[in-house]
Amino acid sequence: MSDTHIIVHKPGADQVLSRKAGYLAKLNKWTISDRPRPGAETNLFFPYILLSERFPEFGGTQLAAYFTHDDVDNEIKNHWWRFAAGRVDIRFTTSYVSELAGYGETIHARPPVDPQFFGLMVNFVKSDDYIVGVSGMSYKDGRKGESLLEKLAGLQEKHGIRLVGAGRGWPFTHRWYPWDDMASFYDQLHIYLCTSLIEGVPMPPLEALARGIPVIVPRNVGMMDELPNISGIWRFKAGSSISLGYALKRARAEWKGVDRDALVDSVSDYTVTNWASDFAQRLNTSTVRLKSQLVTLASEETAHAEFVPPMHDGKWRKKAGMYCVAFGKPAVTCVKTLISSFRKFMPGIPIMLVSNKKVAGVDHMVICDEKDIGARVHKLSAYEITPPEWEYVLYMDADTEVMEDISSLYKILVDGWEALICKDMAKYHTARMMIRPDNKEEFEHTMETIGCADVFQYNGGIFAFRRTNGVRDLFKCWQKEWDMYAGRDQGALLRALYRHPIKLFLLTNHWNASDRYPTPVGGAMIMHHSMKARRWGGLIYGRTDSEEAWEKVKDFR
Amino acid sequence: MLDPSCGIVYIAIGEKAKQFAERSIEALRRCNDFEVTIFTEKHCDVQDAFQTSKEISRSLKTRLYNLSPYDYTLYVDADTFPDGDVSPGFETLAGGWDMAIIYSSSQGPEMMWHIGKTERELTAELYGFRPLQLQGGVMYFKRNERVENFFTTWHREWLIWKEEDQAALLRALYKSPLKYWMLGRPFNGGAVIRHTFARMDGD
Repeated sequence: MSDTHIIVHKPGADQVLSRKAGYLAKLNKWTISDRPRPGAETNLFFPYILLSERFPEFGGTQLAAYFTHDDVDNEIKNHWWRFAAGRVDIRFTTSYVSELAGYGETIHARPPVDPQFFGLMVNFVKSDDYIVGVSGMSYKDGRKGESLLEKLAGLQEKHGIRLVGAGRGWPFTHRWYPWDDMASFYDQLHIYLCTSLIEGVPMPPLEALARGIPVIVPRNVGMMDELPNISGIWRFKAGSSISLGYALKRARAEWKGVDRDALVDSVSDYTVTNWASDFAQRLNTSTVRLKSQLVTLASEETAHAEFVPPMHDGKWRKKAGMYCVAFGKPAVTCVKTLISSFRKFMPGIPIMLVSNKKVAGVDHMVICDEKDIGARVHKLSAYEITPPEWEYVLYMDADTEVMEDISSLYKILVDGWEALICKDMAKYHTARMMIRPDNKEEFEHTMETIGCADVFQYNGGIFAFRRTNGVRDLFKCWQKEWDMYAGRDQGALLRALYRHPIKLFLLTNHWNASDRYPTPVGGAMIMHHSMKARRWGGLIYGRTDSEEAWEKVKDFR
Repeated sequence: MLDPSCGIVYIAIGEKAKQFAERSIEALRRCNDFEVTIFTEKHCDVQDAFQTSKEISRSLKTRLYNLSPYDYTLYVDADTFPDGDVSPGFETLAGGWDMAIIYSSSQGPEMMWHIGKTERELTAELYGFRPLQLQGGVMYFKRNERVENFFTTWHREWLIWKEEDQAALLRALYKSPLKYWMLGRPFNGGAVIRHTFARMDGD
């Protein structure tokens, strides 16, 4: 027997995931709680979301997770799915074996129908009404096929049926059934109907079949296609009311001739014992691949250790660099000031410059054509273009100037933060104030994305980052978002950040002080000579990589 | 988390604070129907160990991670008036952020003005520069390892001086990196949540 620990949101609760996890704990004699156990041989996250959302940095043991369903339309959940799939050593799933196999070892687990459901009801006399039942809870995202059920609720008379529900939120007569009484719900039905669009199993059709109740199920949803093609298991195209209508007709026509014993047999493999056995067979073997241990043992220890003064012994200097971009005469003139000031206060830290003109005094010079008049394509390439050995990268706009030793920026990254950035200046520190005559559409898109205009606005003229997967994904998203409008990059940054949360440290304007506003009390560490690197005046309507935009700067190219 | 519970938490120690909290909840109810939990003397076991209602209040606040019954919690000071829709902060947590907080209006020379000299200086020394001052009177947080670690550090830091909690919050944040989203001032001292910054430590 292995020392496996199960993590479930609410151990012992009257919920499907708690029950399924409970079967594993009971039959396999594994421990269970709402958080991982560092001393266990394996921590099994049930489901994967708990790893992605609550304990993303947990490690030091073998990691496994149960993957219910991939909510592909939900960006966040889809991200969590991919994160967990890549993070764990072993994946368990009922319906997504081929999808997960690409990430590594994936085990198919047969779903567990609770023993209370197995067995035909004795008295199978049905009411005169033709009763079709649905169970569970409806969701706002409509993945349970809510819109289809809403249509069907209005067509009950046409189809000659009466809809009843167990659970919550259905647009027809329903009530809550205690778990112990669910068999009585199924027993009253002529047919059990599943309208879901996305599912991990789903369990209710299996439970109904275990009672000998015929079912109508969607194709290509969960593991429903694994059920045999026999009379009493009718199928329809998921989400289609026309296809469902035909299935209902067929069901009514064939219902009396259904072999109910065959229905029970169709799910006889889906027992609690087999479910527990499918997990135990893998986890009770001694093969332990500690992928997670390799990457996160250190972070786990750090998280619980007493705070130790950061690694400010200077070792970070060998892994640090500064990145800047300059195209056009004004920007090149500005960047020379930046480079000399950086050299003065940050000696020994290498500099990379991207430009179409060679500039002296840098360690890495990339000469290339410009892509847009604001050089944002190159700016937003900071993650991939800078030398990979630079673990800590500081980006500085060409028109900034270092006024003091700015080692603290790198030290913040060394201390565990993934990135840092400053608030925007003066009244522009709130996203609501970012609207201009030339960015209305993008502004509205940004507000719609982040859901609230009253959030902090960042100034992208100075930022620093550490190499992590989260930061890499953020940059990819920032590039994609910027390319939608190819205007300024601040709105794109807000949208990208909102979708890719990272450990972002926020700084005052001491680290990005504009000479167009009063200098912050205490003085500026970095001065931003705003607009000095620009080659145009006024606003650019439309994309900054358009012919019109290039026309505006032609005299400076 | 599959269906996170969202709720709003108050701490009201002493009669004056309770009166403020009641008024705050009345305002909250006009625009929001989230569940509310109030922690009072009845709900804590620290009264013997701490002398003043202010100390009890700060002790509870820095231990809210363990006390809050919700998956997603909004803590608001009792002297706030949530006049608007507070749900954007919960949406932020649902989007993957650990915490949503608001910066203080007291920055620059006013930063930490209400903190004792020694604590203020040592906090500044820890940073080595002027940090962005945050205001702990309104904060959203979720349950995960990072947030738990942050609260553990915050409480430990607060215990050093047992006075205000803001400098301790700054130190805890620096020591316990987490994914925090910065909301604008309307959420703490503006149109969404008014903040009166009243003195409530007297009964």
